[in-house]
Amino acid sequence: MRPIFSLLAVLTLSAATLACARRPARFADATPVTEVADDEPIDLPLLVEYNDVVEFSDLFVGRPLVEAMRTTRKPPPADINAHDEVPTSSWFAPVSLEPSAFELAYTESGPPVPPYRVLLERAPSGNNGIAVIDQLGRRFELRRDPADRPEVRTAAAAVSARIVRALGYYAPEVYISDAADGDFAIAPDDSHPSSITSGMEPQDPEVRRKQLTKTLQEWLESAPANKKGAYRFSATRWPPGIDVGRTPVAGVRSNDPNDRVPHENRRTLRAMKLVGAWLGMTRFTPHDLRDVYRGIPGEGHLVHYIVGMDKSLGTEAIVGKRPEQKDEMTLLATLGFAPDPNIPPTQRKYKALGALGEEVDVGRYGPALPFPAMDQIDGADAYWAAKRIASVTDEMVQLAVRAGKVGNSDARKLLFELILARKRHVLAWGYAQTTPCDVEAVEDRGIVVVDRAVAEGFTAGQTVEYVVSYFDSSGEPTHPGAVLSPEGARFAVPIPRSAVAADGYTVIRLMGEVGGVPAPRHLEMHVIRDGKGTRLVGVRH
Amino acid sequence: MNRWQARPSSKVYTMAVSPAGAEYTWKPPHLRCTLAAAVAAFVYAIASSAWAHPPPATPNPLDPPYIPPPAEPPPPVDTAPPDQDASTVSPDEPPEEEQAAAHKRRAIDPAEVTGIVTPERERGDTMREVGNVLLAPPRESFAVLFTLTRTMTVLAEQQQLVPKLNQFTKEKRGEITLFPTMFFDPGRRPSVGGFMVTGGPGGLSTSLRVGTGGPNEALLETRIALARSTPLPFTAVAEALYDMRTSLQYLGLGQDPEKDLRNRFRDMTRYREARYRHQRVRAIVSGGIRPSENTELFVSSSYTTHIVDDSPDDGGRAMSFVFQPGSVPGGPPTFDGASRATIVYSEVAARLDTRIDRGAPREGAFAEGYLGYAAAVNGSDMQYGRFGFRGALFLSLYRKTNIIAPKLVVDWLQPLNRTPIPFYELARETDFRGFHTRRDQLSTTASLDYRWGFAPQISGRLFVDVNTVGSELAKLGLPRWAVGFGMDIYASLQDIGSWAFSFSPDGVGFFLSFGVPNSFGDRQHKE
Repeated sequence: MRPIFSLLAVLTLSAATLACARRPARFADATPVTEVADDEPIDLPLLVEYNDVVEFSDLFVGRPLVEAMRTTRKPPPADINAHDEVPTSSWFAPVSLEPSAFELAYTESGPPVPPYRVLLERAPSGNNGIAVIDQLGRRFELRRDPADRPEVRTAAAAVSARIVRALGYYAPEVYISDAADGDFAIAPDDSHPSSITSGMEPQDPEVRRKQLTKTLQEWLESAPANKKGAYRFSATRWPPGIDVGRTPVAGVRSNDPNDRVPHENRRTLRAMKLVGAWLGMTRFTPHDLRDVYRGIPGEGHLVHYIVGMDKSLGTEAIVGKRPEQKDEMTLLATLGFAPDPNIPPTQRKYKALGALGEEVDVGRYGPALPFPAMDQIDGADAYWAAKRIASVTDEMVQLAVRAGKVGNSDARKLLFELILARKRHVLAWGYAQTTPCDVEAVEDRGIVVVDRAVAEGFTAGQTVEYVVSYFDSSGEPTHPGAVLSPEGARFAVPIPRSAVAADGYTVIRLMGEVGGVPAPRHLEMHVIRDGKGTRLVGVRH
Repeated sequence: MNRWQARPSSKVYTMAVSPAGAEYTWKPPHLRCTLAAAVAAFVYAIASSAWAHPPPATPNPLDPPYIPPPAEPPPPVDTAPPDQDASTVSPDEPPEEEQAAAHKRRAIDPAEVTGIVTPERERGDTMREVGNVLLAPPRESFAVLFTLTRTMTVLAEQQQLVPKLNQFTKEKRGEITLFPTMFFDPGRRPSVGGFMVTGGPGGLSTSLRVGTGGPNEALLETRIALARSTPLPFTAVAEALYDMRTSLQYLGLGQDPEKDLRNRFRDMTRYREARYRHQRVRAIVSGGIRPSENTELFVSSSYTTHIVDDSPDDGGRAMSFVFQPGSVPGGPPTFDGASRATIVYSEVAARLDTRIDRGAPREGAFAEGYLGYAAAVNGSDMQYGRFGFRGALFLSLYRKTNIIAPKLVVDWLQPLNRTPIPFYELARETDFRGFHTRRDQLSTTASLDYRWGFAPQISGRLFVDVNTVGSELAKLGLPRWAVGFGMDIYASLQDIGSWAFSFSPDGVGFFLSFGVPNSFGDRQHKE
């Protein structure tokens, strides 16, 4: 009996040992997916809305409790391809950033045309709006500025919507416009194919008329007219299809067969931490994600939008008296009497600008409500987001700022400069979360990589070294490795013949070190070398 | 016996005896061996977990740097992408059109999108997965409880509140909502339960609430509510409840029950705190309208049967052992006896609340006045009138979200004949956040709350409460006080949960409420 027990003990130990060994992922020998086919026709799903009470208790209590009882590692993003990029999908669709091409892609409907008929409907694309139908029969949601801060909220909505779209996210069209009293009329009996109602609106025509009259009056009086007697507003083209409610904050949408990746595992949503920090979205919440059904019912599919841009660019810090860089513990300890930090005096001078600081601390940025996807962000997600942000050119930012139609040219210029200054802070943070290298070319002798942090001047090239290691697909080292000290941003990582695994599948790990301090994560490149040559089949940061 | 063997008994450990019979040596049986292996595996796994993320090792400077073979110079920096590189193009390469099509490869299966055939494994993953499996039952139970709450709710309509017009248009009804509840309150057993709300068409909703705090603690409540926005926002609610609570405290009448001559303690007991069990079967019909944005009017009527007897598990603290049997109106008439009374109570109330919403710290004012009439219907001629007032101001300090709120609450019962009022109907100090154990015909509570929002949807709270009760205004006793602190989680419309510690001469109390918010006022639903 004794040998049997000993054998069992040895086997158990061996099994545990083997199970505990580190093993890299193995990628299929295939072209990376560049488009996710999540635009298959689906039935028009039911409207989904969430009650604050239920959702907040889920976000504050339910989900933290459940996640605390999960001991597995944070799951990697599941919407990325083999090359660590996010393919085009109903969540993310990069557009050309050449200004005229961008405008063409951004402008599906164009600005609203007066007169406007005001509807008794909800306006979920932002705060405190009214829903109208313009002369061409298109539904818009109009929003005004606070009485004491002209242009601040409307400009933010228009500027941020363009930047968010330039990043590749779906964002609704927002235009700055104005209209006189006489351009508005109430339409108590009107509806629209894309109406957004709750089913709880009063049915009595007289009650509807009274409520609409009151709503319109309050909306017009919420801020003074300009010198010409016109009321400035932002017009959000919403919905660009059929609004089917909020995007679930976690999990998948049960009535969308195309939705197959839990939302907390979507890199596009995880990366919102950097986007939110860049654009000063202090009150960004999961409520600002909405789904739209595009197409004829039965033949369309869902597209996932980011709305609520009127709360960006520090607007809420001014309007809602909420500091941009909130420090909960300080506020708690001082019983709420801690002074608001980070409201630059320049924004007291220019009323069209929100409390948008030049510096931004991405690590401390958090949304207004717990956002599970943001909580799951890892270094690779941050790096991807930083690359997307880097792709938005100064010219593109200028185009977006112009669309905000801020009257004061100094304020406009300052807003442009602030956005660019914040961009650099966000990029520096994003690049520091991993080894910020991208593969540029692969051939038999080696892989050419580019260090973006060095290339864009965030890190001095002379201070960076790279430790290269080689493994086979089971995680066993195939070569002693090397240390590279390249002169510039672009350099070659050699693939010596002796490092290639017997089956040709080799994992090359590159760990950057700046001034001797290793990066939090490495770059892993998976190559296959066979009779057809050397191919890159997988990349992970 | 010179070899160890497993005994066919249920004992786990086996002892082997040497041939001499005088020397005992421990030998490991099956289980010990397996356990040892498991422990070794566990220790190894833990150690492996720790090694899973070692700090990246600095390369040994003594190691010779890798130098590429001279025959293989580094590739030029302007190397073309691999699919265009001549070195990677084979004679079997597909034509350019096919390459372009392949370049736009589409997939929907996440596994196919990521391109991963075998996922990455880290050291310690096995143990993490084992832990995950072990924690699956509680985790999944919680997950089910919370993930069922994916649709809209109409919780607001389940309180004695009339939604504002903008709340009608803002909210969308859903189908079924399940909501956990949790309460912890000094003087009561902790209780947990669930609350299910079904939102129907046309403003109709139903709810079912169940809860328990252990033996002799049960709650079952069902409601049907209708809320409409025309011609004026109104609600109509019909509800039924059965509950049984035990070990409830009764100290007697007055602010200082031990000295109050109305309380007749038994001579042979040292206890001055009685425990009782209270069962209620109740039906309430109520209706409310909102004539203007900030005002509400309510009419409600309840029919309640009360059964009170000694708390079964409290021995000498039972009410009949502390007070002379039959001396407490509404209490057990004899040892082992139970009293039963059925009371109809009707009330009209008017409320003004200028706050934009009730959950967040907001500026505004609150005032409520009510007038009620109660009569026993089971042979007794007990009758009383009830009236009261509660008011609060919510003033901001420094920030809009820093709110200081002075409050005053007055509840007054007036017997309309000489029949004594059951003790459970008397005015209590339910707004007092110390140990609310006093009751009498008149109860007044003054409090000062300071709330400050320090994180989204979370606010801190400091409070001071002062309370006194008496049979009439001139006989109010020396006030009792309590101070405390806590936190609230809130949605825009109402509180979701709160906890607080209170400190008073009676001791330290801990309050926890999660699920159904406390409504300020509303006598029909309060104890």
